Amino acid sequence: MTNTSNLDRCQTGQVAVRRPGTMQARSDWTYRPHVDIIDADAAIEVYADLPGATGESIDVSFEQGILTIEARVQPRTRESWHRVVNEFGVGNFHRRFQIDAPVDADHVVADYNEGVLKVTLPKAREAQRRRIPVKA
Amino acid sequence: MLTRSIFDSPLATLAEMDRLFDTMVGGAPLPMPAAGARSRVLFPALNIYEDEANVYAEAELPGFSLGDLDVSIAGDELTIRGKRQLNLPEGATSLRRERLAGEFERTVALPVEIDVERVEAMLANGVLLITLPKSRSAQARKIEVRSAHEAS
Repeated sequence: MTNTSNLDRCQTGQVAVRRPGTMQARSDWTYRPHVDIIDADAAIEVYADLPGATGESIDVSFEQGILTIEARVQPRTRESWHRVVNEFGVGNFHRRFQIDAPVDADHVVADYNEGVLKVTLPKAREAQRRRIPVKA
Repeated sequence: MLTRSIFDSPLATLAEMDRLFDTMVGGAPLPMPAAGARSRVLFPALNIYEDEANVYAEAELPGFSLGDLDVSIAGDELTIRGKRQLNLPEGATSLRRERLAGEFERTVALPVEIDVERVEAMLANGVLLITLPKSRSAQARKIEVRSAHEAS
């Protein structure tokens, strides 16, 4: 997986945006992360809650207008632990969005901090709102 | 409900591909329990485990900073409080809002007596793990049962 080799090693910091390619097999359970999407005028910003992932376990790709977010999450429990209460499952995350706004695909960036992934998709020049002064 | 379908957006810039679980989309601010009332939505969800020495409580709290989290124990009750602010930048438009924001408080009864002095809480990548060492008396409650043969 040469495409992911340049992913940041730190748990926080930049996450490389993957170029078109494939993702390795994942474990059994996949969850759909909660996301917020913001139109910040110059860019579309996507925030995804990905608790328990790491910078290197996250895979972000933007291809033909489709943003894909994937994260592999390792089990956190030990074998000696007996389950007393189980209210949520732990597993990988996956979600896809079609972004219809023209995006400057070469400058999509992503970073992961405190369990939250932020993907910034800069709008292509022509899509940015232009303010036209109105003369009296 | 704060969630607005992206299709309602006048910009209609985004269309979600994955509609399989769309019924699950239902973002809302974290319910702040009224005084004396328990929150109807249990947040955060908890997984609780135990081994011989400890009880472990685990919660997913992405984007909650350490300074905004408060873990306390009173008697056999564990309480977790916290908040997360999600402010929309000026001039920005929200197209989809699912992530919970606001303040929360949750209290759970622990299965055994805890040695409060040695409780530890760790937050890593949005996952809070609280390690609650069992008190000596709680550990001693485990009584080995031998067969009548061995006893005689």
